[in-house]
Amino acid sequence: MIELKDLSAGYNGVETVHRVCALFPPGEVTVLIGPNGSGKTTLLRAAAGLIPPMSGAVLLDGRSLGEYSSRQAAQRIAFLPQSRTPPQLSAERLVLHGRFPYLTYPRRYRKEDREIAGEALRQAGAGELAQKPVCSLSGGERQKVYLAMAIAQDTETVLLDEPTTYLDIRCQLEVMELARELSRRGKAVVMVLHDLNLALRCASRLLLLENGSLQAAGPAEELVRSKSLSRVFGVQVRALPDKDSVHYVFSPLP
Amino acid sequence: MKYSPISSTLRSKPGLVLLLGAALCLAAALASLCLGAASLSPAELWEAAFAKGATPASAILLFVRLPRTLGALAAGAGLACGGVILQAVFSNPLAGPNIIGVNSGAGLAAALCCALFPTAIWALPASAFAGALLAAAAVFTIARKSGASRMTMVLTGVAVSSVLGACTDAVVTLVPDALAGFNSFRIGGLAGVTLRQAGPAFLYILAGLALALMLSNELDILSLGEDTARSLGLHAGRARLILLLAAALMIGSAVSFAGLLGFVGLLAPHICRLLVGGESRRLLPASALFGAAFLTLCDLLSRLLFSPFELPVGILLSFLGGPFFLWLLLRQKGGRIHD
Repeated sequence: MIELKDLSAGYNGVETVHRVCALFPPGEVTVLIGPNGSGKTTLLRAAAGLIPPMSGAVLLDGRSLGEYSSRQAAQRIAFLPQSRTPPQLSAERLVLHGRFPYLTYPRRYRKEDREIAGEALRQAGAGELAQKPVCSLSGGERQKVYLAMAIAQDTETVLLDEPTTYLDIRCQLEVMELARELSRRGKAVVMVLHDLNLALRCASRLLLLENGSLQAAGPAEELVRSKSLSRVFGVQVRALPDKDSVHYVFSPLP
Repeated sequence: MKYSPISSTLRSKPGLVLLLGAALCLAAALASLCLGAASLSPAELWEAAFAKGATPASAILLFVRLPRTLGALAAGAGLACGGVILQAVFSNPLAGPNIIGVNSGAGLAAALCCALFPTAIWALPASAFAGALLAAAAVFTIARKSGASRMTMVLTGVAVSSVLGACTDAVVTLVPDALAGFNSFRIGGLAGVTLRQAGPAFLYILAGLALALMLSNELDILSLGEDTARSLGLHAGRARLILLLAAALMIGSAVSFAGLLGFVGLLAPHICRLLVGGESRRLLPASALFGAAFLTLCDLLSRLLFSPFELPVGILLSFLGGPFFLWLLLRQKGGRIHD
């Protein structure tokens, strides 16, 4: 399990995330929310070990992430960045590269890796796309293929940076359902979401960031009740309970 | 990108494409051995190859045609594979050896080597290799510092190329004696290639290809972008360095005897990508074969087109390559495929 301990991080010597303490527990979908520039992506990249902490630490099962080799870390943590160059690889091959952290000499993928990759594609609902070049797919299909790659990577933690941006509503819901399915299987799923509505509905836990500091953490109802959500975003939030879920309505502050 | 039915049929049969490439290579090599100022029929070629004493035909074959054909095959394969690697390492489809200054780096190093150590012919490939590597590393570092955009890298390449070109001009002007043949080096051509040059280069290029093929997974993963590569556990920096070494080895070796040939490293990978897709383990051998066949055929054409006069093949390549590069640029803008 990943634990952030007083984590500060940033780029080029400028600290944009300040002393954040948080846990990414297995079996939960943890969603990072916050206004533009609040440090969500920086936090996620630091948790993935892509940028070093400026102070504090990212702990993986109690040991600093830096103590793991990059291969070991890649067997435990998967990370999907938001912007990607769509590759000319076939979907099948891209997903197969999710097995790269497990590659041993002679550096070729084994039959077992191929089976895992094929199964991951099916689980992501992209089985029929196997032979297509990823660059010829639609945004939603592409996202599913990348998620399949993360599934094939077979890690206990999956970090996703804005996995639903630019997708139409159906694909958004499918991606979120897939994320929840992964958490039900015991993975810790952590994602940055820009869409507050989607975030409140789908997260089991939310981390609310403002100017790089953690303002609140907990389930959606709690963040709404404590008013921290409306304070940080500067909007009024009302919860409307429905049959089996809660809907949220946002309106400008009076 | 729209894939035509032909290309999608071929993509599902990569073995067939490789076979086709090998056949094309063989045919091009045979034609290159037979045709020229004094043409030989295949039967005469056979006779010349296995003649006991030295006949005029066997002399032509051994000292002119064979080195030239071997040189064309090796340089074509080396530049094409070098192009594949550069495009993946820079994750930029416009990265070709002549676009991003790798050729000019090799050129400057070769010019310096000729000027400072005029007798050390053996050092030429090594210095071209070092020049190619340094130029690639410089462009990569500068482009990364100044921003991640595709165009930044091309512009950095242009700037670095022009500085390196100016240095080369300075060397050529200051030490004119050592560089009598430099003009033809700059244009790029395969006339006057000897076996002593082409032989070692051929081996270096094969070694580079083997190294690149061993790292084909890494090459694929690098093309996915830095963050994805690192989160898959790849040491991106180390992998890039080793792959740039392989590319510089191949490009430097090619440039050391064939001069600054442009656009093979851009044309062959793009055409092969349409035929076999983007997987490096297929793209590398396909590009090697098609690049080799393409350069051999272009060289043959440049020999025959204005016979008995001969056009340096570099001129022909630039004629073909320039418009192709423009087409790539324009397509990119419309399609948004490559970012």
